[in-house]
Amino acid sequence: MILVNDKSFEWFEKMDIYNLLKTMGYTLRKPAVLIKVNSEVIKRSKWDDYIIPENAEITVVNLLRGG
Amino acid sequence: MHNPKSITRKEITGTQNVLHTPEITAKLSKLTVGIAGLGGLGSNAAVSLARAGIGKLILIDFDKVELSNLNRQAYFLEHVGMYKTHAIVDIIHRINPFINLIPVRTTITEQNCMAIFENADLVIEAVDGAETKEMIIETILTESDTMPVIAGSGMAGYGKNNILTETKLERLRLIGDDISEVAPGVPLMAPRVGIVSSMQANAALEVLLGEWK
Repeated sequence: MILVNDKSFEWFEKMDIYNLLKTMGYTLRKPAVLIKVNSEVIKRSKWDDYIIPENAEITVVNLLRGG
Repeated sequence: MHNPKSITRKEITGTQNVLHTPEITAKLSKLTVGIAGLGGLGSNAAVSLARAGIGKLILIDFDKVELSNLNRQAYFLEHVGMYKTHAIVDIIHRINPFINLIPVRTTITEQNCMAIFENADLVIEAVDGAETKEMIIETILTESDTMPVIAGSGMAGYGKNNILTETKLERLRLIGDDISEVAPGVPLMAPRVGIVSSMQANAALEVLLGEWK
């Protein structure tokens, strides 16, 4: 299991950031979001190689256009 | 009417001492805030922090003021066509000519972000593009161990005062409603953008002063 924004989700081996976003219902492959896994912010440039560990506590923050 | 050129730094500081207390005035005057983007959020937050007495502002934008900016940004008609960095210096120096302003006319990238904000005590993210917001926040949170970031996300449209909130995520504070993205029929307008920019400036003071009053 993993905990994403305080909700439980199924975890599987080699789960990556794209799997995570799809699980959460994002339709864009690369939406503008800030992703923190346990205490580490995962930069977009590392999304391709990052594997989510089992029992991770994850925060996903939406970033919306406008300023 | 006062001649603005006759007003001294001592007079302005004295007024701030009376209004804000000498402790707050002294503390804020020693601090540096970086503002990434000088549009609706950044221009208004910069003015607010200048009035509060922040000693130094690093002001970054690549763009020029356009007529279409005047519905929500701090600029005046006379600034249309000027670089935003120049225009905001003009506005702030009319409020307080003794603030140290560092205008940087550039596009913020992953490569130059930390160099630009190297000496800042805190950064306000105030850009328009969602992916640029992400890049700035990610870069600062991963490449600095201490620098706080106050970001804005979700402020388009009007009304719905009660859903504008602040989310705290360690050194990041994210201000907005998390749902209102700019879209056809959902424009950026002065009141909501102004509220979020004021909340960003207010959160910056809370972080920098270290306590709630």
